[in-house]
Amino acid sequence: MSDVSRPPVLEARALAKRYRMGDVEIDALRGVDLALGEGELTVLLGPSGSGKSTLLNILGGLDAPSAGSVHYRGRALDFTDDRALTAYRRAHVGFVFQFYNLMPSLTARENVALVTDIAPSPLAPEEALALVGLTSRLDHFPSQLSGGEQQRVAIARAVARRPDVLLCDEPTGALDQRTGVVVLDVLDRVNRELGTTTAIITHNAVIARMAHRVVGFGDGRVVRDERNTTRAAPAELRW
Amino acid sequence: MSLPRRLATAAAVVALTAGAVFAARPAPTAVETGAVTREHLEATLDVEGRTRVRDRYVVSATTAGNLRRPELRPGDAVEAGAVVAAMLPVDPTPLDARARTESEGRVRLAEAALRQAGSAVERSRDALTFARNDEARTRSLVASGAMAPHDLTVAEFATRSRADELASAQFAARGAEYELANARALLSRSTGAMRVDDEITLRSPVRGRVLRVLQPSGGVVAAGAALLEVGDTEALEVVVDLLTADAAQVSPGATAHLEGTGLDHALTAHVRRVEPSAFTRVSALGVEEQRVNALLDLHDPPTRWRGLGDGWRVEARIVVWEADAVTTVPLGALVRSSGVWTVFVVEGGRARRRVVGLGHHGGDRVEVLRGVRAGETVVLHPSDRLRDGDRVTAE
Amino acid sequence: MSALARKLLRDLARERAQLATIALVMACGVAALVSMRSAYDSLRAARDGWYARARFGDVFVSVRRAPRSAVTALAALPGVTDVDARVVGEVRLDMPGLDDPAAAKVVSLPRAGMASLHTLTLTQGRAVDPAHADECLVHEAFARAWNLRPGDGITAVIQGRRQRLRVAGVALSPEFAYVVQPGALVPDDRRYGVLWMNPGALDDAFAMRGAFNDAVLRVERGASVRAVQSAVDRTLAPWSAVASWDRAHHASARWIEMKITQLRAQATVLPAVFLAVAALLVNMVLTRLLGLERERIATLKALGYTDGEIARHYLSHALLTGLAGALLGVALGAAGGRLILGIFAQFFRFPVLAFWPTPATVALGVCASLGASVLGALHAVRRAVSIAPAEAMRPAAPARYTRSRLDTSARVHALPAAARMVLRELARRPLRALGSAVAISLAAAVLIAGRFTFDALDRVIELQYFRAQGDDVTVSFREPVAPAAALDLARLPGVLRAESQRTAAARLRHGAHTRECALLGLPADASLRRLVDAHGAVWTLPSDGLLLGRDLAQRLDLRAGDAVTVEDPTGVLPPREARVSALVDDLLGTSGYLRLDALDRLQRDGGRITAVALRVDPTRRDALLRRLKVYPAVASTARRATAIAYFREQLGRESGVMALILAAFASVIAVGVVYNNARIALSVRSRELATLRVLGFTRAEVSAVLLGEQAAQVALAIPLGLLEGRGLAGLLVRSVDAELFRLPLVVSRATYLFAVAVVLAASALSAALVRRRVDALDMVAVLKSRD
Repeated sequence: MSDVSRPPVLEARALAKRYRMGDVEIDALRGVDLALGEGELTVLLGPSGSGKSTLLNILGGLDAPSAGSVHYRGRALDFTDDRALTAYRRAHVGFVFQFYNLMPSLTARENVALVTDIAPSPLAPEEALALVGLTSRLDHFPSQLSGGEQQRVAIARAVARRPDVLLCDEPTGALDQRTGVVVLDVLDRVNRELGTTTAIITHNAVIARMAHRVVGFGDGRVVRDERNTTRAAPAELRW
Repeated sequence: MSLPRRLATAAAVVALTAGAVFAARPAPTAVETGAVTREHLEATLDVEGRTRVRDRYVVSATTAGNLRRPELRPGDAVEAGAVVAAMLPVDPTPLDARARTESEGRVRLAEAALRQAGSAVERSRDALTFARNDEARTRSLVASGAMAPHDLTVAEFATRSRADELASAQFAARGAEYELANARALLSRSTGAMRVDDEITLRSPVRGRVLRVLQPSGGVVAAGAALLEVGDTEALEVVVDLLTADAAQVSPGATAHLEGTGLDHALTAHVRRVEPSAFTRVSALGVEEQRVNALLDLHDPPTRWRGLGDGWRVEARIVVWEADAVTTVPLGALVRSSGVWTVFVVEGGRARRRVVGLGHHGGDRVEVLRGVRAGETVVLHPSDRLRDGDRVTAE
Repeated sequence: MSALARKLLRDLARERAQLATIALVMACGVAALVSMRSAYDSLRAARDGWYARARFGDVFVSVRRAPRSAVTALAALPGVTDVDARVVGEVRLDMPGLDDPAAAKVVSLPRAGMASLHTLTLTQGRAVDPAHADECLVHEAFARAWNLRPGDGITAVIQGRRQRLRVAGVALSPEFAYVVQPGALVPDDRRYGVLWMNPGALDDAFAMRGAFNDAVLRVERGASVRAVQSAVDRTLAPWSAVASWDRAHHASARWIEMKITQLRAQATVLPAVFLAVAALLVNMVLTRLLGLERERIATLKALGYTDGEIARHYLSHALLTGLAGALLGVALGAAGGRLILGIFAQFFRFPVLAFWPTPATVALGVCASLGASVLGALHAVRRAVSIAPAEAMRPAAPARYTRSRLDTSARVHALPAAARMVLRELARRPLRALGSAVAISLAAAVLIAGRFTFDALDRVIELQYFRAQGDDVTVSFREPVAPAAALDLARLPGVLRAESQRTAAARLRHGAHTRECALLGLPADASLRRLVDAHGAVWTLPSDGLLLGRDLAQRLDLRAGDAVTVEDPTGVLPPREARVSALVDDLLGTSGYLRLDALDRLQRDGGRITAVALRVDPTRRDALLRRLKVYPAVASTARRATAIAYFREQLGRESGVMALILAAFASVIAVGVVYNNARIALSVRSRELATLRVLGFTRAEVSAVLLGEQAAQVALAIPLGLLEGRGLAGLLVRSVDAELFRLPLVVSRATYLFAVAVVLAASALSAALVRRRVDALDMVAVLKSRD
């Protein structure tokens, strides 16, 4: 249930996903409807194993649903066309993962450059890193950076391409509270300054307070979808 | 680790190491083997020779005339006195005084020859009697053990030789008779005692076979022309030529094995005589050598060498040394090493080098005086890589 | 440079040890390819060029004595462009310091004004002066062996007459590019050479005034050589010509052709083995590497990189390795090719033998290397890139282990945990284990295939020179002599035994097939020279009938019991019939064997002999040889010990060098496979192994888990490799031209052990290198990780 005043950038209709892991079959999603509006910062809240990551992956074109469809700015994503999905990701989507997923053999600057090399109209790597406050760490390798710094590099990498949608999967999951707050602050700034539609997955209810909207997940389904009347600043969050 | 497990590991390690060492040993060499035997050994002198009919007689025309085409062929048997040629005499010219004297002279010559042949026969007969007595005496002495059996063989051989010589003398005597008859016939014809158109028949003086037909077609022949050759093919001897240096090793009575005759078995012969006078000959290798002839008599009865004729090539192996019960090894087992002759004896699966002292060589075996015993096995044609103590297997 | 490119370089640097070993294997393959092919190219070019420049003949014929007028008839035959008629003979050379006489082929130089074939290349001195009958040209091989220079003199015995010849110059001829005495296997430059003399000088000696006994013809391009041969045979039939032969049967040309063909075959097989192993290694390494990179591949996909870009990125790993291998290989190959050519130059007497690596060969080497890399990488990359990104980001499911029959047996339970882990790991991916074992086994196979020729030749020496021959000296005659010659020789001082032999050239005919061969007649009781087959069995000659070499019989389509027509190549004797008693796997050449008296019956000349084998008392041997030197009928005296020593020396030198090279090659393969496997296993299971350390396993036990898998693969590889090696050896045996000689299939225990030892040593070395890393496993980092 979105605000009609802002058209949905990304919309999921009746998404379902079943996958195998080893010898086990898992129903991750059982019919999910969701819409992300322009410039919104949405938090997808739910316990681990509730299918949040799966939803994010499908929204980003990383995974194909067993049933249902995804629409980007009104156009349906063709999950059978791998090339189209790649083009979609290349041009419009930015990812931030729980475990950063940086290339250990590249410096911070080079990790960001990975994206700027292929994006149509990116920020300069240095700019992106400045945005996340890591100008002094441009030429450090991930092994020389703290967890928070690594995540901030990942964010810089994600935003450097100026994506239309920023999808974050448990961005603070591996961080302590103090560092986590820093990261959330960056995300918030990016959302405000660049107007990027942001979706953050977390199991931490405290974080939900900084979002425009909170979508609750349980057992592969959307259980609630509310707007925050007041938004907390990331600095105020304690967990 | 617990004790049983430690023991098991240790046992496994030991087994593996043993297995590795075992596998690393070089494989036993495969060798050909021969035996050290105790056998009769002969050292021989190998020479080349040919057969020869001992007693041959040439039938010649007694007078000039027209020879009838001969019907006899080489190999045909003839009896003594059989007609072998016939001819029509040409008109005999009456002999003048000189010719007549010549003819008479020839008759006297023939008579003298006959007398000589007769006395030769007598002499041979005496020699044969002596040899027979000697043989009998030797036989009894050998039976009583006073003389060696070898001496009996010598005596027997002597008897046989004398018998052969008597036969030859008798043959020669018949020839002389024949010559005398011819000479008389010639004389009588010239004195006109015979008629002109009497056919003259020439007869074989001896029993034997026709060896060669020298006048194969009929026609006019001169007096004295050789017409054919007859001989006793059962009286065959063998003539071999020896290098003078080797002749000293050959003594009369020595046994010889005759091979290469084309018959499928070897023949035995004995050396009758080595001629005293040498001659020069170019050998098969192209060098000039001094050689001397040796005569051998065949020991086997004529039925054994039925196929042999006159002038057949033979290879004679004249025994110059022999002994019984001699320890011998094959020639191929000998290896020269550090200046001495050695052999490799197979003992317990290994080749052991032994120095050997050698004696006489005979064919492809050699007499061993010391170093190995009869019954042992030796390696034949050992490779130059074979070392004392190497493991070997017989192939 | 793009970030992705930077990642590539850094990744390569991190894996440098592993990729280096792969590059090394590839370099070996490329080096083998480039060196052998370029040697082959150079040899062929040198040979073909020389044959063309020097006008090497196409048809060769030898005749007893034909008048010069026949040359016109030959020149007029259709298809013939040039004819060279000359006088050829064999002479003895009395060289100082040699007890047994050296021999030489003597060839008459062309007459002034005649168009000449087989143009000589003068390397020293000048041409022979027609006015001097005693001048000669000496073949360079012989001149070099005896240090002869223009102006030196040599004593020759020509047809029984001693003559002092003066060396005017040193020359080379395409006809004698490979100089080997008829009947010998290896060139012995000290004992056999070639001389060229004025035609007039030889005419007198060989009674060839106004005549010739040897002719060479050149056939125009496009004409049928066979047709010309038949025409030549017909033309020269009245003068007892031996059937003409072409280049394929020319003594020197066929040896060179065989060696060149062998080189070409080797240039394909050996590199193929190496490149196959390299491709296998690339596949293994890249598969595991990509397994590790799963998450990163997913990330790149998430970042928007296409499958193609990602695939190219990872393929570059393989390509750059391949390129490194190619460059190293080309450099090594150039050096190696020069080396190989140097070895050939010792035997192939070419005036110019330049090493010329063609760009085509270099390109082939580079392409082969790159091709092998891509081939090995393709499957792995394709599989890795095709994983759906989301799946790649999920932690990989723990590897599936199932209970197999292996597990239920009590013995397995009794094994320590480490052994059980090793067994289960092997059982999980049996194909992968087998693949590695096969790759390692190739190392052993290469070693065996390379060394076995020496084992085989060793056996040939043993059979041919020890079992078949027991003589010390074999005396050969210029012409067949009376059998009494053997008896005469037997009586010479020092001779322990003498046995006659007779060889006769014959042409065998059966149906539509004909074959030239040599008939060897031996006495029934022969012990100094016997017929021994390739299995070592001694054959008794039948009293009547022929024993034929199996290859010869096959070419004639003959079986035991068949009748065959024996024709006289000189045309003197009428065709005769003989019966084939049995087929023999003989060692040398094309021969028929029969008893001496049976051969005498065929030749109908009352029995003559051509050679006598002598067993001689060593203390009297030298005196005997000196004596034999002067016998006019004797053409040569061959000492068995000399032939053996020479053969052994040649073999020994080559085998030592080869063993080293092969050991190096095999080690490269073995190290490449074992090291990479171990390193990969280490990185894949590092968490697992570090966890073991945390749990209390000692360093040795953890190493055992990791290296136990490798050890099991090596243990499997060794017997496999021994079998493969024997198989390869069997293939090589077939490649030898059986008409020249047969190589028995013999692999000595020492060779097998050598192969096993090298593979074990290389594996142990790799294990030691990896063990250091195992010891350095970081336990703490493991505890922090999320798996």
